[in-house]
Amino acid sequence: MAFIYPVKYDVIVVGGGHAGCEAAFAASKIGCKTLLLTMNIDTIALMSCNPAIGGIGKAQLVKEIDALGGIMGIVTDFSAIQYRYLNTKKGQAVRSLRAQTDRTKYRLVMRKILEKEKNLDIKQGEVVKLLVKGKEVYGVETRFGTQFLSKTVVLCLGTFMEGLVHIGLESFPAGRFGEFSSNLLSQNLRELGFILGRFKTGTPARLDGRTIDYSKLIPQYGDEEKRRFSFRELDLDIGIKKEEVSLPCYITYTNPKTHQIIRENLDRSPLYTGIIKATGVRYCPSIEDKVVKFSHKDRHQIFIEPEGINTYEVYPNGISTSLPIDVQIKMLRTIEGLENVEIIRPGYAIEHNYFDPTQLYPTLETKLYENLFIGGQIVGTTGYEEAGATGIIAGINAALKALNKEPIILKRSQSYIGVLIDDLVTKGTNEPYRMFTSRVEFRLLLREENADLRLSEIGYKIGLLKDTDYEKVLKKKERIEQIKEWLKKEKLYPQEEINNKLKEWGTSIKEPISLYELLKRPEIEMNKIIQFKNPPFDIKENEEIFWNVEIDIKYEGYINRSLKEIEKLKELEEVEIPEDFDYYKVPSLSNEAKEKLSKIKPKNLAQAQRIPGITPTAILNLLIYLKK
Amino acid sequence: MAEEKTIYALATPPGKSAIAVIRVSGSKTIPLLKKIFRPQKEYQKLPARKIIKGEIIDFENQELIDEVTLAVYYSPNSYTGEDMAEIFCHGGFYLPQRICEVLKKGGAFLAEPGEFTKRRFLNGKIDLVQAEALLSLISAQTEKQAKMALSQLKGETSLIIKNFSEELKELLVLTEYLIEFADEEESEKLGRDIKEKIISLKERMEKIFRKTNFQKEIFEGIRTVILGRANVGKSSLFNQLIGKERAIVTEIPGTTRDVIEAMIDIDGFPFILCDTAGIDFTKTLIDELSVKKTKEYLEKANLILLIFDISEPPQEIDYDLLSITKEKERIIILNKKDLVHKFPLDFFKKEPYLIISAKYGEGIEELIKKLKEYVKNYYSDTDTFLFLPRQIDCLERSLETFKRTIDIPYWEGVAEELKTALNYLKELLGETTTEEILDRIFSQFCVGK
Repeated sequence: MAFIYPVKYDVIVVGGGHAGCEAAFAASKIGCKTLLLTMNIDTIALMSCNPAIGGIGKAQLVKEIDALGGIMGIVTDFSAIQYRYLNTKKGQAVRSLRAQTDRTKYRLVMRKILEKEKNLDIKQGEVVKLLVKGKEVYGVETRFGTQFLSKTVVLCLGTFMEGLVHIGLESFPAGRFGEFSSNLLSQNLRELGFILGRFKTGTPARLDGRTIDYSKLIPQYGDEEKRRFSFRELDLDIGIKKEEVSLPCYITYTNPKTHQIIRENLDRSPLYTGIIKATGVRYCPSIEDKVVKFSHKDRHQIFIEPEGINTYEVYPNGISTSLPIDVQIKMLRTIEGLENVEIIRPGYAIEHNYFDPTQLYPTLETKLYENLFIGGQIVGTTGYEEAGATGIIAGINAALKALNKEPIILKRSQSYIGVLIDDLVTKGTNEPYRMFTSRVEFRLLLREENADLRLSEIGYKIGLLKDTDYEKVLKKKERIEQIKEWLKKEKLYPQEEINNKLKEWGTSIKEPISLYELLKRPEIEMNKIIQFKNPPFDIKENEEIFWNVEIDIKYEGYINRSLKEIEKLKELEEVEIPEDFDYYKVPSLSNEAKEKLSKIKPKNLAQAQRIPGITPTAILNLLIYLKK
Repeated sequence: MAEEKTIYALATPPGKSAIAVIRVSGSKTIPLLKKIFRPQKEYQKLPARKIIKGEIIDFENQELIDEVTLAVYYSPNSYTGEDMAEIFCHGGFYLPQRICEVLKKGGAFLAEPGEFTKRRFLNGKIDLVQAEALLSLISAQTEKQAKMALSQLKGETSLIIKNFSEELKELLVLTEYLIEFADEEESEKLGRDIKEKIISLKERMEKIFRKTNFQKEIFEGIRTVILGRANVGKSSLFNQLIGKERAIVTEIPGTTRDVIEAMIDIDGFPFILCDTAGIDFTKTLIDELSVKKTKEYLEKANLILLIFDISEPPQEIDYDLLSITKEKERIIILNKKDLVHKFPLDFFKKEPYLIISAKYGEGIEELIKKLKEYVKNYYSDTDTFLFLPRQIDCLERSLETFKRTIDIPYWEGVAEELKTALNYLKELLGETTTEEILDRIFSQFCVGK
């Protein structure tokens, strides 16, 4: 007999990884009585892959999560041991922050933060079944028969569904190396009628840093300036101190000898013997894949990343592998600086189920059952940041639904998160989905340093972001306007002294020019402007804001163009399609279009247009029909 | 809802003729025929693509209207992709009109201009470029126009633009790769590669663009402006050109009273002659009004016939005219060959000139030869692509955007321009389109086509 747990929850979050943590935190902050159920409470927020957060396209996600009131940014700042800005030379608008973190500290900080949430219960238990009545989900059942009831449920199962770890030709069920997999829930989802696919991902061996000859490696230091992911105050009273350290990473390379060993042992690779059938991450291939597919390259870069302050374990980024352990050792020891290296944990590949994301609405609620939300890697993504992003939205919408409030759907023109979710639910994915700036059509508008300006209002309105944090953003907005006003007002005249200076930088003026216009020139940056005129603001204090203003002005032309496109898009967005719309009634739609539209159920014509295989002609037909 | 309606239209010009053709298209075509058509033989189902004999009757009073033949096409194997019928009836004003009335009474609607082709496009039978080509084919006035429209219908224009857009996509891919993945060392090399590729593509696009511009002239007429100060013989030359054994194709009313225009056909190429006799060229061009008007005509002109009076020494205005037209294609003409020559021939440096007498029609043949040479510079019979004004406009905007990428120092800016340039090409191909563009295109079609 099932034991029905006496506490009735608003929201239950299943899974305590990066998505589950955001979902649980968001739901409880919004005011829902929330339960986080995890298979192992000690692995909450464990970083299964490399110990770093952010990077190109991903930093934007972290900062957006932060702007909404999520916690990934804060936890990263607490546990960071190095920050670096990437892409500063290629263009300022795609600049992205990355932090190396202390892996152990990251999960401890996260756990502490969650434990301090008064609306949140954390329990250990494996969910094996969803409680379903008709087409509604009303709770979950754990392995030992306890039923937890709730208004909504969020599943953030990561790589645990029927997880299968491979090392060489050996394989065994596991959610991560050394952890149980979750098989019964996966079966239950299939029985309920959901479609599950299979993906593969992998990770390299972890090494003993004491056995590495660092003198042979190239160090890569962090930025000297202070960096932060979160714009919010790090005033969480969690009893864990943030340490101001900056540890370097080290660079080394594979070589032809390494590659030869890999090639010679492909018959012992689960990837190349057909044992692993699932699709892997194209953007993050295993070293076996790199050697085979890019055979013309005679070396591949490896970053040796520190695992933390209090450990000598290091993470060799760039050589994830599922070759047998003896081959792993042999191959690693051909690498410069790693001649005597000792492996602490072997690299492995893991196959796991994912949930076809086209079964979700943009709210991340399933189309098949009400009150059920899905987030995290299980919806077909890869990366902590992508997981956190879908996690927080699933959590927010599960909470809003429990409170009978309108859901949040972020637009593509508003956020990276919006693009991520829209891509997933509209197009689906046949490989693990990774965020890129190039997926974002308005990326010059959606930058990491203005994430707070874009999204904090939403976070504040749903009760996720604190008043004091929101006020900070309002002040920033005001300050930006003041600086722009000042730049417009102040002028430079074509005096010899001024032109001498300008010529040093490769430009000059013939007419009087406002600082605002001058800043548009590629040769001129804010730090040059302030050599001519003293701003009526503290320079040090406003450094980040200066950056913001500078990009706004430099890219004004593009930004205005984007804004116009967004306006145009609105026309299509405004043509809403009812959820129960019958596409088979629209004449002259091809059968393919009818099928696809009926499956995806787009909310409006703009979304319909993005479904692969839906032609402009089909949209025109739909438009004519809907307008009638 | 346009697509639900069954439409009809007279496909042949109205008026006296042996037969007329009426087209019907839409899902109710067959039921409609059941109502109004009495076939000679009994059919279970009217056979497709066969000539069927029978009578059209007014279903309300069973009155016989005409004996006709008729062809039926079933969806999707028809011009529009829908069920269709073509009724071949007796010509004239009355009978076809009566049949149309019966069709209307039976529930069909008179087609809007271009609606048959619009449906053909909407049902995926042709792409946008081909749809536009159909339009050109129908309205082609000279053989050259028709020939080029045909080649476009075959999709050769689309192919050229598709190749460009593939290359743009490739450049975009490289740029995005550079932004997302490349380390510093790799970026530098890749950056140089990209810029080189951009310059190479730019040159090829420009070449096509220059040719297309001339094709636009073929379609719209080559605007040939006769320019010169007062009394150099502009109107005489104009009259000689349109009068002398050349058929006037059209008389186009001048856009202002200052200019008279006429179209002439030289070897199948349409030239629009513009006589600027009404513009006052007596004063120097410092006179603002003259400057403004002249500029307007110069901007629109494809070719300038610049006339001087050989019987007088050059005047200030002659220098002005020579200088303001120096960037343009021009043919220099010295008129009044029959009078005493007082004009220094080294005035034009090395530029060639023609000496004529417009009054006596001397040298006109040489001028015509020059006009033919002008055409040959830009057009060869082997060019089998064609662009319409809308398409040239897209190509031009794409090229303008694309050119900017060369000087942009930020890679995400480069990517932005590449994307925009690509979008213009997609618009040209009709891959991205709006209702408005479509309506504009289809409203240019004749009813019934």
